[in-house]
Amino acid sequence: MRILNKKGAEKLFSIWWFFVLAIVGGGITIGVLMHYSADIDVRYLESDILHDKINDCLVNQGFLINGLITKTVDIFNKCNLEKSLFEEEGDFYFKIEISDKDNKQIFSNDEKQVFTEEKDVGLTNGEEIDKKFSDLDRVKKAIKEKNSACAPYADRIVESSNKYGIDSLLILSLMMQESNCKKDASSESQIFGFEQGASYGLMQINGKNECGKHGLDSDKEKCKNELFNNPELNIEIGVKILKSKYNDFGGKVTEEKLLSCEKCCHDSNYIKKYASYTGDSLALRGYNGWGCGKNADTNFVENVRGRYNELGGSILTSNFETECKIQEENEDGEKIEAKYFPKCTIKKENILYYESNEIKKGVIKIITASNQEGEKFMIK
Amino acid sequence: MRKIDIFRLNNKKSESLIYPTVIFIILNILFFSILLLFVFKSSSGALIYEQVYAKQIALIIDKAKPDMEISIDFSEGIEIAKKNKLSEEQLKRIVEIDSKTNKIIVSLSNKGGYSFKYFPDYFVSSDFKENQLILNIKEKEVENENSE
Repeated sequence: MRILNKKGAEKLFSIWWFFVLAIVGGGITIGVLMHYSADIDVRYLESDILHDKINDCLVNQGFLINGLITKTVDIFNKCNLEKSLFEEEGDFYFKIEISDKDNKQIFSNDEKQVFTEEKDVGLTNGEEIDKKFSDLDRVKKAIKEKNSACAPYADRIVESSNKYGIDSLLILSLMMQESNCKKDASSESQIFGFEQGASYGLMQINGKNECGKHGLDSDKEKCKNELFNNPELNIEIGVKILKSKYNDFGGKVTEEKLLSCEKCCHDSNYIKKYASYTGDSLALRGYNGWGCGKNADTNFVENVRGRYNELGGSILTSNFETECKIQEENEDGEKIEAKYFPKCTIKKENILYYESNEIKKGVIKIITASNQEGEKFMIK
Repeated sequence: MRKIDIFRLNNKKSESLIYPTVIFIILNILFFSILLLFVFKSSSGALIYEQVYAKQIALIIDKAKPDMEISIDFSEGIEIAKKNKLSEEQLKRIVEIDSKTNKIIVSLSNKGGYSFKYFPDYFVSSDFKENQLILNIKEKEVENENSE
């Protein structure tokens, strides 16, 4: 045991000891008070939720709701938004811009000529998103968010996507639509068997058409067994078939071509719809077949595209936590700052919309922001 | 034997040396205990919980859809309100939702509270079942029709 001498013990209570305690105590107290009195910032979360809410109510499975472009729909009413909170002194803000495929603006909800300044935070277009998040990350994220059973097949989806140049999320959407990622899924029934064109496995490969090809056994049972128990091969064949369908009708389908095709739909109710498909939609329709009979899924393309949009495949731009300066023109035509939002969300998505009974491609851009600060109140 | 004498503080010289050391240690422990108590009190204070609950409820309502019933564990909030000696009647009103102004008001003490707004045009009613806060989300129009 070391005993301090008297001189040392007296030094313990020097003025410096109190000085050190005061600094330590003061520092901790100020730090704690600053930390716990600071507001928890949820403005970005609010603007993101607001974006999702508006997007969900205006875009249904990739299609813009009718009446928005013609301004017959009240957005506040349609999306259940409290209008007073979005007016002049309100804490919330949103702006919707819709443009056609030529980038010409065809709708804007803001009548006051409002301009925005976007501070780029890195994600500026689809290419940038791909650079920042690898394809595999996109697929894994989509699978995780949708709680799908597709997780074991993520790597194979990306491999096939790279091999055939098809968007990995489109392949995932197709797989979810066809089998919900169940490797033993089958459309076979007592009255609809192999010979009638039943489909098997993850990508629902038509046994009658495909067995004996793509390295599959020509024996019916062996082929079915391969399609069920070799999910990698099943995906590979499915994507290969999808790729070939982009060239159906020479890549451009018309009503005349459909009418001249024996196995295709001849029903006037569907011919117009089928003839409007191009690109991915055309390939998806071809994948499911061009029929429109009792057993045909006439909404197959819309269903797959809906899944694709839900998985975030249609998102072109995502600017998170960006800064928005809302400007308006004064009487002299000068731009003046009307509002400033340090945290806002800007997303651009591909959409389809109806115009003169035609399906057209466009882009919707939704800007949302929140500037809400909570209120502490005291009771006297 | 000398060692024992030191511990019993029979030796006058040793006694005068050990007392300042013991007092020094006790004062240090006291000082840091008070600091720890202050940090703990600050982190579990009503003001923090009021803000967290108000914002959490607002974000949940923002994300909700009409006809949803949402249950939120409010046990910590109730515990704090009880510590702050709120009466049974006051405990029922620690969360108030004003559907006219879209405000959520959380008050876990007699001194005040915290309010935060939600943006959907919903009629939201709240009720407590044991330690669970139950939120019922309805469209405002439907609610008006019912009341008529």
